[in-house]
Amino acid sequence: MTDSPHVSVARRFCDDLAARADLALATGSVDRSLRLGGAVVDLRIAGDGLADILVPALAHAHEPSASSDSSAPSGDDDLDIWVWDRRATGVEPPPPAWPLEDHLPSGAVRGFTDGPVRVTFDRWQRVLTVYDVENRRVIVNAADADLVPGWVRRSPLRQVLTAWAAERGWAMVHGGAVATDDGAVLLAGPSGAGKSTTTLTATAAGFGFMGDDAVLVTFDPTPVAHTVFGRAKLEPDAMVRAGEVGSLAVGTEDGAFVLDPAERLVRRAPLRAVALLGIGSSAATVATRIDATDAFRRLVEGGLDEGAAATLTGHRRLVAEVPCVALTLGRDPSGVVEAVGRLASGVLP
Amino acid sequence: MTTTGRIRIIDAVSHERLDDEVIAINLETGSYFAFDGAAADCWTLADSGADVDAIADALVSRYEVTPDAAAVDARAFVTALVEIGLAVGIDGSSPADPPPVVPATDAPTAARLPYTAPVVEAYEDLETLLLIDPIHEVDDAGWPMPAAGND
Repeated sequence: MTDSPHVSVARRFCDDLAARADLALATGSVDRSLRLGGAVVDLRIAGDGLADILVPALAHAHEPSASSDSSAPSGDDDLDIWVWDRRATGVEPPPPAWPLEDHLPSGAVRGFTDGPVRVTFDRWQRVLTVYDVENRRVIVNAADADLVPGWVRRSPLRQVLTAWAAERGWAMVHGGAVATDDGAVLLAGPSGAGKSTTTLTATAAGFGFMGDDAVLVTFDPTPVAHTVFGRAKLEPDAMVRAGEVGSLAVGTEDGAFVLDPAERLVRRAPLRAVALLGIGSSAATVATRIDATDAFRRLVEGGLDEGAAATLTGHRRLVAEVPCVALTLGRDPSGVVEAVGRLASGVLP
Repeated sequence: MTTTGRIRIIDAVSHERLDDEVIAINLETGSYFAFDGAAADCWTLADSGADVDAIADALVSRYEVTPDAAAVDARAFVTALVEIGLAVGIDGSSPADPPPVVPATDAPTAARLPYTAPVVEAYEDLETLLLIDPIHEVDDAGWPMPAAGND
């Protein structure tokens, strides 16, 4: 079937962009083969500043032997990601193939949110992202690594990985996760619900760390949680409850501590429960079963800007297949840990 | 809007139904919509290609609503979807079109569900969107950049 003119334009732009990326990568690149969600993601970055931002939080997933052929993805779920810094390499992207007014405030580009080529452009970070779905490649151009904000270090390439997850029917959930030998528990909710604090409190108590802001869920065919970003953030006032986990701090970001829980990290675990968090007023932590419809709305609304919108299908499947509870967090950290532990063991209210 | 009121949900809208609830998100604008009950049914039927008459008939069979009210509400709902940019009106069906899918109703004829008129309401931070200036500045490569003082 012949492509529509719109798609033809998109494909030509993508090929032109790829050619520029090749030039940039030829100036020197940092390469990583990542195992994420059971697939191989080959990441190539031109520009040391960008590599310093993008690599550390993904380092846990690096498997040098994962990709036997770096020239093309081999599995159906595999992905190539090419990233380059315009200033550092001197290689510019081609000009936009669409009118300026098609750049939307959301960062999307009108007409390029679905279809074989998908484009976003963040005008503040000045980062262009193009997802060539059929060729399983993503090309990212950043005008200047210095324009990329510090928080990106904690969840690098999140938008890219979310789009890739969406294409596979997976879910990129805005939340944390912890695991025991029995399985993992997703800790979700809107900002301020206690995701990071609960994740790190449980990690301090001996649970495996699987992320405190984003978790990938695949269906293999049963739901499996995967760690994507191996960094956590801890606000200063939560350091008191962090215990020895606080010793994992490797820096600060906007006044909060950034932790590297690599030695406590669990790469993947079967998902036992989804806990929608809320702050309670008593000492005790209370878990209440909620239905899938309620969980679906709360999960999506709590993560609209962080992956829920793009992976709506995965979110629906998640709440339909995994028990969901509302977890009202009490002031007593031991009660929180105990409640999460019960959920990880499959003990439901 | 066409005479039949048949619409097509635009490609930029991601939507999913779970039981009696539909969540729809416009990926271009970030607008978020949640429909339940009669509104969810209207969405599902409209997405399946049903025209306004078929939607109204389905509402009458499932909910405690009169045919006249259902007809008015069904047309208002699909009109709102088009006006808010979630859908576009399409012409009448062709003989090759498959029949629209009507969700099965659990309620026996004698026990229809209570009815709430379907509405289209977006949950979005409109203020934030409206404050973002249209693009005026581009860099040397032709890509947008914040205007001076607007970072």
